[in-house]
Amino acid sequence: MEGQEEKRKNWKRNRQDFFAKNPPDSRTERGLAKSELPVVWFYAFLKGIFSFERVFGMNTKWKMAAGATVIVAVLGWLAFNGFQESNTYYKTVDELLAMKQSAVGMRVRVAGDLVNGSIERRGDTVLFRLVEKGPSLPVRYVGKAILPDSFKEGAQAICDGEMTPQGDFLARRVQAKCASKYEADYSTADSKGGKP
Amino acid sequence: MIDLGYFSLLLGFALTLYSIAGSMLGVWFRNQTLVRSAERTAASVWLAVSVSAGCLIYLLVTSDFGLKYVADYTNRDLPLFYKIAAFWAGQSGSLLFWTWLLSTVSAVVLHQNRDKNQALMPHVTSWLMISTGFFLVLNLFAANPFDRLGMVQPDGRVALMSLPDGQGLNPLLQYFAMVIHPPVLFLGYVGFTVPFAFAMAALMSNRLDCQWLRITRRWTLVAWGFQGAGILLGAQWAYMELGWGGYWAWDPVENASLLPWLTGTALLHSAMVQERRGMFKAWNLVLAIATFLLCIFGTFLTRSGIVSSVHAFGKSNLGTFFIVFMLTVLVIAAGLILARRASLQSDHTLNSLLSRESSVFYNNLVLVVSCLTVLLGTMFPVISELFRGEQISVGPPFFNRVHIPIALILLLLTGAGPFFAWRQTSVRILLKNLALPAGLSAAILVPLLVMGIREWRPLLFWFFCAFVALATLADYFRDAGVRRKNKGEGFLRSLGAITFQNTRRYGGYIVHLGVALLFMGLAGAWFNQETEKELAPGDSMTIGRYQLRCTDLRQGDTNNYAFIAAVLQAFDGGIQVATLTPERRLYKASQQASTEVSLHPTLREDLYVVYKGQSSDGKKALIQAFVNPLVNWLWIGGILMMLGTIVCLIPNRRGELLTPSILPGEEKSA
Repeated sequence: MEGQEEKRKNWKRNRQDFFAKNPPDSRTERGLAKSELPVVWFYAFLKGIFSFERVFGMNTKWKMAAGATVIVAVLGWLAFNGFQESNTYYKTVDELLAMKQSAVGMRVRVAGDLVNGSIERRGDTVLFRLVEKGPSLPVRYVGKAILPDSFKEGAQAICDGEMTPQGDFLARRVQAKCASKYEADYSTADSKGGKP
Repeated sequence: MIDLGYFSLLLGFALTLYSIAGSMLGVWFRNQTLVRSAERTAASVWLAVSVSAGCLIYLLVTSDFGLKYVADYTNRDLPLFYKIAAFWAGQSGSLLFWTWLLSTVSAVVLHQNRDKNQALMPHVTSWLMISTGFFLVLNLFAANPFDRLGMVQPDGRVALMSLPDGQGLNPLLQYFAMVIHPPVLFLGYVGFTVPFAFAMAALMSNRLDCQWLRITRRWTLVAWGFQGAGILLGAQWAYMELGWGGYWAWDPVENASLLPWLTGTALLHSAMVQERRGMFKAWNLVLAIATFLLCIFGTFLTRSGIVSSVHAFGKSNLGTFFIVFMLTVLVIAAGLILARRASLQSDHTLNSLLSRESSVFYNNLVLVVSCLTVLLGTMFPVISELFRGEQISVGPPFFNRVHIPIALILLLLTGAGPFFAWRQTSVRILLKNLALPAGLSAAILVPLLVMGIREWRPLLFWFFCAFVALATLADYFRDAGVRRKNKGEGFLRSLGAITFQNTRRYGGYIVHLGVALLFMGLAGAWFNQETEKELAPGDSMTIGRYQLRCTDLRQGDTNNYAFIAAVLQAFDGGIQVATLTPERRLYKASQQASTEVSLHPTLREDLYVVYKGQSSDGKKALIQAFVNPLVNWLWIGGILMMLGTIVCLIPNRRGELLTPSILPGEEKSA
């Protein structure tokens, strides 16, 4: 089998023969206007880049690198998309209240203590307030899933959701914490898992 | 007993220090006696740690509540089985268990090589002992399982005390898979220390041929197998115990166990390239060292409370120890690789894009990208805190987006890779081997499309799974057929015969078949269904093709827990297929609630029922039901992967013959 180096030599020789038979300036003599030359050059340039010889005769290492770059770029782009779709900001109650309207539409996880006497159930909706140090945050949870056993007044709760323009927090998932143990209510979580 | 345990741990640490110093100085002064004595000492570390571990088990079984660890993780009424399992249920105990496993593995490695590989062994001893020493430091100075319970007296002195009963084992851990899951996973984590120690030894002694890879191939396989089994057992545990209907949620601790498995998989494949072609030398070292570091990193994630997770132990001060250790190893390893770069030149260059080498290259690339993505996603709250001062986390979409194409590329390589010849393959040969499997796999999609499945991603997955299975089986059966013709044996007999003649090749095939089944099961998750309803006796609900009728609501009491349960009859098209009794338990000692899922598993799908809670009047039960298609194929695929790994481990004549790096007639190419 002819080696890589030999192939390249052959190709070089053929090219030299070609240019010897067709000197570069002979092209204009074939009736091409000078203004058309850039077009010809551009065509030759493209042909040079995408020629069979260039693409398939490229050094194997470069080909591998090119393939790797494409794969990594595509995966990186997908990762960025996935990030934009799922990034969640961890905020405290005070930070969230201070952000006011700028927090609307942002995925947020907020933690705080359940204010005594604030839990109110209205059918599928549960209303409660979270407090950390200063003012408290009204939270609305609408879900068919019942809240975990440890969700009681005085316990700590972690809510995932977003601020509404009305200034209350719409929780999609509520976790309650008591005695340093979390009990999650996974049923409304968007993390249905399992997909590779 | 407490003192004996603690002092034998101290003794073990002293012996470890001597062994590290002895083997290093022995190499430096070329003193064979010193090296020998360091080796023997390293083996005796195992004895010291074993005594210590034995003490802790004794204390757990006899319920000595003067010991904090025993009081924290057991109670009197806990079954004996779980009392022993409590050894690895808590932070400090599981670290001692880890140390014990590591010292065991070290002793076995040293015994195996007592008369072999003498140039490498002193370095191996010192690196094994350095990692054992690190865990002993943790045990002695940060998480000591032999801490007594104490109470501060009014005069400021601390008086020892003992409790009447302990707090009990976390109910979530009272499950069979959870009892064997940590030892299995730990064996994986610990096993990867062996390739790491040999890689470091190869670097330090400048013996960078593929000897270190050949010695550690079996250890890497064992570790990889255990790690994989551990991950699957963890998934099984999450599926059965957490009661949210899934098995994988990209939780930090799950991710931590996946990271070394990914680089370990990469190592298993790229090691072949070094054995056969003398390429990827530095890369293999990097992978072995990275895998070990990721194991340590995984432990760090689980133990330090740096990211919160359902699986994690509580917060602790262990973090600093881990960071110091990891950075030290990283710097030494990087320095050594740079210093030895002259010896790490490849023997050959890549000939062609269509070669086994390049397929392994892409396999490694994709696996490492996967590993980095998981790492980035897991650490994102920490990284964003560092750079932007606010914690931002990423959710499953981040991981899923990237891993769908990664899994597809890997499946393609799994199916096609074995047909790529070393150096160069012709398109014609590839087409000859792969056209039929690809065509048949496409044909399999037709009935699925007729059934009305239009989701393109699971269809793509199933196409590739079928492709892997068909391509692999076709080659396997073809080889068996050749033997059958030559020898006139039965088909199954020749299948077995070729498998045991070349266990490396066909063991790998079996693993690949397992991978195909596993991904087939994973893709089923696209069609999960879920619903919930409050049921009183006599009520019924519908999920998928099943109808659930509630016949009874029960309450009861055992020594360990109180429970409420619902009895449900499951009908499929009017025929009763199962009686399900989902339960909700309140464990007495720990005052924690937990849910007992009830399951009707079939090969087609799982009917999965959870008792979510009682209605406020106590007359109805809130039942959540899931139908999860193809889940069982995940476990079946996992078992097949384990079987394949075991086959790979069986020694055979052919496997040994395959290893020479330059085959006859193969010249060094330019």
